[in-house]
Amino acid sequence: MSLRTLGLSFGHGGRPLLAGIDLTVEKGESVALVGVNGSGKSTLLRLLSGVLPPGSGTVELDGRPLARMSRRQIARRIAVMHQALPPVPGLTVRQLVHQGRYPGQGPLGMLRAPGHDPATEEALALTGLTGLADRVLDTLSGGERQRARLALALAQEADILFLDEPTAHLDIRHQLEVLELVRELRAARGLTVVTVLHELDHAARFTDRIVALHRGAVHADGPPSAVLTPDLLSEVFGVAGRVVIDEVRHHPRCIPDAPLPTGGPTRSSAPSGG
Amino acid sequence: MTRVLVLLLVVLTALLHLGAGGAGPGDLLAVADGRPATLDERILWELGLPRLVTAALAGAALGVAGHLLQTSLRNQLAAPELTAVNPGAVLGVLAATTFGLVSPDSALGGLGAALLGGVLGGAVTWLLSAGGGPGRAVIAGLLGSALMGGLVTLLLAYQPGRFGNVLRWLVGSVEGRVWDHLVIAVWWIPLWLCVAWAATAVTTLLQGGDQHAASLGLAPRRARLAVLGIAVALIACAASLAGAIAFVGLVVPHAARRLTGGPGGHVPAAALLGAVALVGADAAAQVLTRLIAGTELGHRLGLPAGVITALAGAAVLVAIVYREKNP
Repeated sequence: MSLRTLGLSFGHGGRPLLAGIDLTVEKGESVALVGVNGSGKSTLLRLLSGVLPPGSGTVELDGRPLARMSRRQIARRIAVMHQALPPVPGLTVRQLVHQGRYPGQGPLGMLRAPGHDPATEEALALTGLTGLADRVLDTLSGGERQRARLALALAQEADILFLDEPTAHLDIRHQLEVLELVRELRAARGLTVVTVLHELDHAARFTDRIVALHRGAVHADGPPSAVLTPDLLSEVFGVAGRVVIDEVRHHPRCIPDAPLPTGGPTRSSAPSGG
Repeated sequence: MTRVLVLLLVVLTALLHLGAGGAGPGDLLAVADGRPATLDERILWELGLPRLVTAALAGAALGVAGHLLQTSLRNQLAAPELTAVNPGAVLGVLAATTFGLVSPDSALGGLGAALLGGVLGGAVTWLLSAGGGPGRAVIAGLLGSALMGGLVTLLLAYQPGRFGNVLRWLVGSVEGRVWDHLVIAVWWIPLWLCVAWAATAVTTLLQGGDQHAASLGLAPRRARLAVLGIAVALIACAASLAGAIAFVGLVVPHAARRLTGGPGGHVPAAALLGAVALVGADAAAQVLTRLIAGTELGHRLGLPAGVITALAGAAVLVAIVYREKNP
């Protein structure tokens, strides 16, 4: 067992965003979190990484509540790839990635120059950023920025990796590149990966298990072939559609046809996004 | 190569400062020998050198404190004088001496009063900006500074006869400081500079935002309070020595970050540049004081270094703003 939530709830000003989430993520699993905007995906990810304290319920890491662990202890186990880069003027790729060493090294260990840290260099090499290491972040393209965010998370050398919409704003080729890279790393390092995804086909192809959130609760949970159904498309995503099996890769593929006029999900105005 | 240039700049500024104070090479050698005998040599030892050390320490403290404020609050306009910390520290010193709580010449008493006042000023800014973004912090800092300034004015109204003595605190001056004033500052400021440098990773993570810091293992609120505590310790000591020196803490950190590569160099660069800036400003102040010494005005006052930093800092700031508008 790796990561477990018990009766996890969270709300803003009396309005619940998540209610009674019981979820267990086993070691080595790759789980996709899907749902419409405002369904609580990103909030759940923040609760799971301990950045956000739950309204009620607990998150346990190997049986130990996150609330009783220090932020550094958590960050040594859980790395998060966020949607945005930190807005620090003049920061280079290597300096950013080196920040991922903080949980392991602490403030004094970080005083050594970033150029001599093997874990930083490895994270740069794995993401193909070695040649761009001395570039300032602002000068990177979208795909390169995405890889820099991933490299930062990898430098933490945590065994659990959270990815918050890792393919957002990328073209198809870069989307596949990032997801392939994560899959290879997961195999090589034995990582547990939880990914917030909007693309259901990506979820079906790159993960073993899909958890669909709907109005702050788990609506469906299981392997892609069991979760991705026409009913899910209409009940969770508010679209009429078909689900076919990809003939080459043998995973389900969703074909949305039309938005449903009624009965669809009300678009929530959650401040924290998806 | 860069290190040699920096060393050269530091030594040159120090010599310029001592020279502006009227010391010659012979006096320097005599003092270095440990035997100041003639009047000029004793003036150098008892007034010239303490004045140089005061300017260097206060400048370094303000430069680094400004860097800590700007990075941990993620606000380019955060500075000792714009977050009510420096005005609060000046208020603390003035209130404590006005009410006779500490002697004006007590190094410990001055630092204690400045710390209390600095914490008060910072706390006012903190409370006013609670729950707001970086923009709100700037306004809260200005309000807090205005409040501290108002309280100082109240003190002056209470004892208008002291106005002349108080002027050096209000404008900022390193004149008239002797070794007795420096007994605490000579270890206090270097100590907190070292702590600030050791906390480089913490300020760098905070600069990336609370979410960034938290997911990399840093509790942002607690860490920010700790960094602000370091800044207050530096600012209070600088204020207890030199009063309300403006602009060094605002402009120097920008230059330091621009001139150094990695985050590891920011604190040392801010310390060196801050020291050079205030020592240079005070050298200019001494030269100008001599130039106007013949006039009637010259008999009445020495030009305070704070006037030079305010003028030069304003000019630099205008240049920065102009360059950002017209790249």
